[in-house]
Amino acid sequence: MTKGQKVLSTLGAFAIVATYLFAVLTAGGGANYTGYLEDTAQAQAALSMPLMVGYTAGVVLLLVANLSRLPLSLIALIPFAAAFNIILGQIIGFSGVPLYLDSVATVLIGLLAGPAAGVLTGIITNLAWGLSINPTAIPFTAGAATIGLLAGLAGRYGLHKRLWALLVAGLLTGVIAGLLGAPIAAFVFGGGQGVGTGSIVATLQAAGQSLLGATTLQSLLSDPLDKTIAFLLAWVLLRGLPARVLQQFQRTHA
Amino acid sequence: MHRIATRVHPKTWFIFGLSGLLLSFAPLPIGARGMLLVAFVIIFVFAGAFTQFLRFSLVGLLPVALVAWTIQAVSYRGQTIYTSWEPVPGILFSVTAEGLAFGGQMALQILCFGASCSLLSLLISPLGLRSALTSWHLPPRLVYLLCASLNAPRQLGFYADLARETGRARGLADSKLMHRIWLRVRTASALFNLVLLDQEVRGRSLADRGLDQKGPRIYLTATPDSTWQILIRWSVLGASALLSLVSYGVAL
Repeated sequence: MTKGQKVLSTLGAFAIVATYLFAVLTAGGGANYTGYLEDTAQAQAALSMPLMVGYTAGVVLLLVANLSRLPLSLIALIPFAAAFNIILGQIIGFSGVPLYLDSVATVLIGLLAGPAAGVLTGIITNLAWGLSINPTAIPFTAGAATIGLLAGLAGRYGLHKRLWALLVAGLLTGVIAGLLGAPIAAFVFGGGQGVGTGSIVATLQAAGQSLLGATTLQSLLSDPLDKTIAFLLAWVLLRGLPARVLQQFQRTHA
Repeated sequence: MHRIATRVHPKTWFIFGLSGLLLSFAPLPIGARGMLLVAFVIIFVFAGAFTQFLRFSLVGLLPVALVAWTIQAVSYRGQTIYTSWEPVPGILFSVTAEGLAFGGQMALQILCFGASCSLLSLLISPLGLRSALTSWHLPPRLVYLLCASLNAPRQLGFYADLARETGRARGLADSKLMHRIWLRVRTASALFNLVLLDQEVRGRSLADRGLDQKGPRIYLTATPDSTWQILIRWSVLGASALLSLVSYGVAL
């Protein structure tokens, strides 16, 4: 990784974190949100644009930093990994199960091929999913990139060699992904991502939580479980891979 | 697609989509959001893609918009309360005028956002997308990843059908639910192995095709571009950016 790529990656991660902090500090995680909205007529809607711009800037920086790092064999692999995510995510979405499981291949590629490949798989999955079947996936691209990055780091530090360590990594990844996705769920989709999750958001809001507070709590209920299962499934798939495949990836780890 | 719409260059649809995205997230009043949605519908009717848009919306967007509206309709803490109920102490659901209006804002934002994405996905072919992105000098690797990913689910589905057929031919039972689930797990595992084993061959194929080579790329497209289209698309983008800025000035 060159110095420029490191700088761009750091800036990308900073943009994503700064955007999340901006949303939390501006909207307020507490119950004072209604008062905030009363003072500015369109304040709720006004948050969606800075959120999208900030997260998109982070994604673009991560994309630029990692795109040229990978060998062409991995570039050729990513569309199929994205397709696997899309198909599984779509099946789970239609099944009514309150999980997503749309990042199993992202985690697997991250574990096998490193953070750069994980980041690109996450980004391409959500862009392709959004442009082909389900546009609601696009705003969550920054979260998907972060999942790939964290899975890649887990692979780099050998956490996949101990199942319990990998499951803890999955849980932590879920917490971070849930936190990053909560402002999008609140200010872009109004908490309406699904009937099951929407009911939880409505109940939490009726209990006095702000919209951001409600989507954050809802995300923290479902995302850690979802990502732990995704890491577990990736581990199962990893265990079933022939030694020849694993050797290929040792050469191309980036 | 109508004949006149086929004369619209992919770059024009792409810029219209980006302009739509800008306006979708701008803090416009609810009436302006409604008008924006109507404008999208008119574009799809003009392009002869209204049926596809309707199908796309019904599956992907309308449920999300409806749930968002319902959440705010019953749980938003507004001042003008129409009715309220407390199923358990501490959880107070209430239908308020502010909640209904805010839910409407959110639902329209979701529908407008989805319609903007539909401009990109329904009115631009993968070839059109590739030629548009390439003409703006985006990295060839990114263009490949995007276009190949749009095609990959169908290709993977085809491979999955073949693998399942092979499984049946080998005698893997599929008469009971558990058997079918097991067959699918075996299929997924086989596909993963196949794709992972094949990646180096695919990589060499990409290298042979000159993916990383520098220099211009020319794609054969049947849609002509024109000075008028260039003028219109950049004017629309500029106007959308300006309107977004103005709406921020008014709202905040």
